[in-house]
Amino acid sequence: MPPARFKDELVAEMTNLRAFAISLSGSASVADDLVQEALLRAWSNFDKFQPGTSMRAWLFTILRNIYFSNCRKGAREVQDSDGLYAQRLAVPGGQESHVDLQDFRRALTHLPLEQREALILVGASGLSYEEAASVCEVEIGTIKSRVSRARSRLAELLSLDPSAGSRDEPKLADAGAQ
Amino acid sequence: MEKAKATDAEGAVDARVDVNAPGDAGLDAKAMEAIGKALRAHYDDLVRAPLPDRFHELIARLGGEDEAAPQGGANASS
Repeated sequence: MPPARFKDELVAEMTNLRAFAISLSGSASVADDLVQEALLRAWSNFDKFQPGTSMRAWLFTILRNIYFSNCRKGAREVQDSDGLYAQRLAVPGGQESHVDLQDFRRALTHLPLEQREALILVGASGLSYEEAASVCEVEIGTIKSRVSRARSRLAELLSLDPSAGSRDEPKLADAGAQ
Repeated sequence: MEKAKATDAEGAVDARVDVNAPGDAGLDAKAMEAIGKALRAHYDDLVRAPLPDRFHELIARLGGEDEAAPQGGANASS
């Protein structure tokens, strides 16, 4: 039976775990199944968690392993680029960013999985490069490289890339039609 | 899923990569900033979303009934 503190830490990371799962799978329903399985697996393996290390990174690792294992079993990676995020909220205070949240999410689904997860882990979830590398079981340099390529690709998809010239039509129009 | 082959060539350039700082990959500062903001907005929006009820129920079950009622939900599931 895990100590109460373990449970508290676990519960505190639930929303982050779910945010990661949705970002990874691109589907809230797939994500919720992943979160549930990860939660149960974490619970029954509580003794494998090393106190003092990042609970978030540990949970992300568990969830990611389940996801990739499911993918290998043949469950298709869901890339429902339009129906995914049930609630569409405005970008909070992000008017000056010029990137619409929904456009961004659609673009995100066009990234290769390995780039998407690296970007989410490092750029949004608050994990360090080192923790992200550990979650993805690659070298730190590989994470950095993936993040870099992810951003370049997003800039391209969102027409933020100055080197792509001043094309008026968003690239998503080309890449996005599935 | 591993396509790490391509990374070695680029690895050398990456020491200065900071996801929240402009400059790498030839992107200009505005683009970097816009992406960073949108990325955080995307993620924070998800984190702020309320947890579905199933998780509240699951969390309540964990620990609570583990010993008393051997429902096993926590351990039996693969």
